[in-house]
Order: sequence, then C-alpha cells, then structure tokens
Amino acid sequence: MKELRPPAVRELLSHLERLPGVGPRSAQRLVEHLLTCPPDEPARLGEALISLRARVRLCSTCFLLTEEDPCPVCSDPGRDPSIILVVESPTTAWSVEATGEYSGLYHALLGHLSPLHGVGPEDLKIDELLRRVQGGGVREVILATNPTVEGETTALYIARRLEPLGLDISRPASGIPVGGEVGAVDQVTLAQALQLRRRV
Amino acid sequence: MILHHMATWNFRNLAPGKVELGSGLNVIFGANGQGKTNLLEAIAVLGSLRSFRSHRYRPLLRHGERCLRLEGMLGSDSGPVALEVSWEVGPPPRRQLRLNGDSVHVSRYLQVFPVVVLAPGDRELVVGKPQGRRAYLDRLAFLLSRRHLDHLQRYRKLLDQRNAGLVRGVGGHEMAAWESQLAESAARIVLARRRVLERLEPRFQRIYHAIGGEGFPELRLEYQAEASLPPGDVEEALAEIYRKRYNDQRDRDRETGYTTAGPHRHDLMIRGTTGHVRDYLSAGQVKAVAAGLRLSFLEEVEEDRGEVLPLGIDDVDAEIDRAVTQRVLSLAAKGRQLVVTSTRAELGAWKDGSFRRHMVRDGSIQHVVGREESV
Repeated sequence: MKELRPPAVRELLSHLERLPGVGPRSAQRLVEHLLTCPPDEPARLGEALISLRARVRLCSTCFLLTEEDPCPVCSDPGRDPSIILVVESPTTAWSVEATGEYSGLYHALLGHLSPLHGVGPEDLKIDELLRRVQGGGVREVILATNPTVEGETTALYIARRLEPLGLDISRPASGIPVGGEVGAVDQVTLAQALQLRRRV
Repeated sequence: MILHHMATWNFRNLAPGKVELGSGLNVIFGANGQGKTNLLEAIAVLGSLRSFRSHRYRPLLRHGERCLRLEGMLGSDSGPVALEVSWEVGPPPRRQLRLNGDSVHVSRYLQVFPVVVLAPGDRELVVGKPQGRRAYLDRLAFLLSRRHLDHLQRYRKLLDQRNAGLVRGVGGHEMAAWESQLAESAARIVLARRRVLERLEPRFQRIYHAIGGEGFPELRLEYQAEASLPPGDVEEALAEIYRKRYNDQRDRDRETGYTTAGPHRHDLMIRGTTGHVRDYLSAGQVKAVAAGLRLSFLEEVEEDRGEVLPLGIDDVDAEIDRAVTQRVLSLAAKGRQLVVTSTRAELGAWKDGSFRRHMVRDGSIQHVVGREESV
C-alpha cells in the first residue's frame, strides 16, 4: 500500500484531527475544501488563527474573552453593576448577551467543581467573584452554571459562600423550550418544569 | 404482548437464523448442553439487555467471532415493534440498539420489551448479595417510571464525586455541597424503591402463598436502609436525614475512601418471623420466593401497561420440588405467551391454550409438528 497523501496534507490532517468534534472524515473534507477554495481564504484563516492567541485574553475582572482589559462589558457605564451573572464558560455569556435581555455584568468561573478531575474551588474564579461582590455595589447574583450534576453543585457551593453577604441569589429556570412541543421534552426537564410551574 | 419471532447471529452455539414463536406455550426441548437455555437467554438479552447467566456480553459471543446480533418482532397493543441489538467486541466494545430500524437511547429501548425469565439462578435473588435485589427493585421502578434511570445515573455521578472528594481530601464547604446534592438524590431513590415495594408486597404475598404449600413460612418484604428512616412520602425529610448522615460519617468515610450510607448499600429484605430467610429456607421454598418475586414483578408491569407480557421459564422440570413447578406453571399461564425449556417434549401440567414445540440439537432449533418422543 502506498501513502498517497502528500506530507503537507498529512500534517494539516494531524492538526485538524486533534480539534474537538473533528474526526478523520471531517478533517479530510476540510482539507479538500482548503485546497479547492479561493487561495486568499486559507491565508486569511491562517492569519486569524495566529492573531487569535496574540490578541485575545481574559478580562481581569470578569474573565470573559476580550482584546481590551477591562472588557467592553465591564467598562460600559450603561451596564447595571449591581447584578452579576455567573457562567462556567465565557462562551455561555455570548448566548446570554445575544438574548438582548440582560444588562448586568458577567463573571466566568472557567470550569466547574469536580473532585473526580481534581478541580476544586481554588482552580475556579470563585474567590475573584467573592472579592468583586465584597467590593460593594452588587445586590444580585444569578448563578447560570450548567444544569449538570457538577454545574448545580458548583452553584450550590457558591450560593453558600455568598449567603452571609445577604444578596439576592438565583438560578435561571429550567423548563420547556419556547416554540417546542410539551410531548417532545425529556422527562426530567418536563418533571422539573411542572414542579416549577407558575400561575397564569 | 407477543414475541412473534426471534433471530440470532453468533449468539453462543445457536445456529444463525430465525425461530417463529407461538402465542401460547412454546416448549424448547432437547438433551442437556444442546442450547435450549441459549434461546431463552437471547430473548432475555433482546428485552432487558442483560443475560440471567452472565453480567458481560463477551461470553454470549460465539467462539472466534467479533460481533453478535439479535432481532425480534414484538406485537403489542400499541402496534408491532422490530427490536435489534448488536454488539461488537471492539475495542472499544460497541452496542447498537434499534427500534423499527431507528437507533435509540438505552432508556427508550429498555421500556419496550419488559421480558421476565424464571431461571434456576433466581435463587441468588433470594439468598445472594443485596446488589441483585437492588437491581430487581430498580428495574421495576424504571419500568413504571422512566425517570428512575435518570435518578440512578445522577446518584451514581454524585457518589463518584463524593468518593473522589473523600480520597482527595476536599474541604468541608465543598464536601457539604456535594453531600447536599447526593442527599436529595438518595431521598428520591429511596422513595421510588419504597413505593414500588409497597405496590409489590400484596401481589407477592398472594403469589407466594399460591405457589407455596403446607409449611411454607410467612414472609414480609421490607426495604432495608443502613439505619431506620421515617415512613411515608417525605422527600425533604429524607434528604435532610441523608445530609446529616453524610456529614456525620465524613471523617470515617475519608478513612475508607468510600461512602458508607445511601441507597447503593440498601437491600430488599425478605424477612421471616426469625430473621432473614436465606438462613433457613429449603431449596423448594427459595424457589417459591424467587418465582413469587419474578411473577409479582411481571404482574405489576402488566397492570401498568394494561396488557399481558411474555414469560420465559428455564429448566421448567428441574428436579427441585416438582409440585412447586406445577403451581408456578399454572399461575404463569393466564393467557401469556410462555417460552419454556425442558428436557422433555411434553409438559404434564399444561392443559389449555396453543402449544408449539421446538427441538434443539447442537444449536439448531427446529419446529416440531406432531407428537414427538421425549429425548
């Protein structure tokens, strides 16, 4: 059997296959695309990859991804500094921001508690959150960690640490997706949605 | 509910292909070691994804092969369903489940064909380790409410996290957060199991007394936790008790690296007047208790589904207490599809309903028409 893939293709494949969600098949498709698309496209992709790590860092206050520190949210005088929405990953904040319904500040923990993986409170940005809150001016914290075993425990742990400060602490509601069918929702979500039902 | 046919490929010594089953009694007969039980085992795996003889899939695979496949056509009140299980040895091992050709999640698959098999190994359910009895309760709770599986998986994850926390010396505040979640999860599982047991108990009593003869002792089924728990539907109270138990035992648990309290250690206690029955029941009595547990399980699911379900009986004429066997068989019939294995072609106890016989020889299964001599 002869190796038909040129060395440059093999090298790119080996990099692409290391990316999350990319298997050998999709890596092959990406390479095929990059070899047939207009030549400036791969060049721009290459530049974007290089400048990504050079320009993007974490905001030193809220740990969202940013090119300026403090980030555009933390430095925006129009945002409500009395509310902080806590997320596990900075990218979750993007989704919340896209709703256009939230005008407070964010705080990314950069993970969740998991003794199985050796991740404790000191590995997350929890002390930083406490310092922000203790700094004053915050009256509400929304704990929007993921509704997983780890995300919920992380929220509970933070809620207990924040408790003595006498703030409003909440979690976003879980339930039936808007525009979805009640019958198509999984049983756990449906049961929780029924428990947390509200009067109309 | 009827299993119209069952097909196997590379399953133990069975010749590949399809076996048509009748809607009444199906007798799978043949000499020992020919593969009678293998067919019943294939039916059990098709429905429950578990064999009653092995916890692993590897022994089910025909020697030298790398993948096995089972197919069955089920007829039920809600329409026909084609079931398919395939398993590849890997690595990594891979199991694929299909309903009517569509790949489905295990929790959906397991709801479709709640098969029950009475087998000689059932004595373990009575006298063996608590694990088997917990699995029995959990399977019933899951068949009655699919959420139970989610609750068990959640409990398992939380337990693994707490155990990892014990070993890694995680601090008190964080441990308390894990324990609080674990306690809520534990309360839910205890309640689900107790509810199931409450429904099961009167049914079990009726069946056990119908199977058992003179001199069979009075028995009770009880949920046994590590220490007493308040009765009733008291989820929050139970969660609070477990929060305290986990907290109180944390230092001791740190020494072993293992959580000593909770539903993963509980048992379904089969209690006689003088303690646990495993200490004094005869072999025939153990068989009657096991059959009582299996049949009451079956009836409970049947009542929930509103239709009778197929039942398998392995080695129906085993030497242990023939009178018990006869009573089990007459109780088991009741319009159900029965698949039984036997060394004899005829069953003396069988008086009504349709009758289909299959002879097994060296893994090949043949439908037998007309009267056959016993083998």
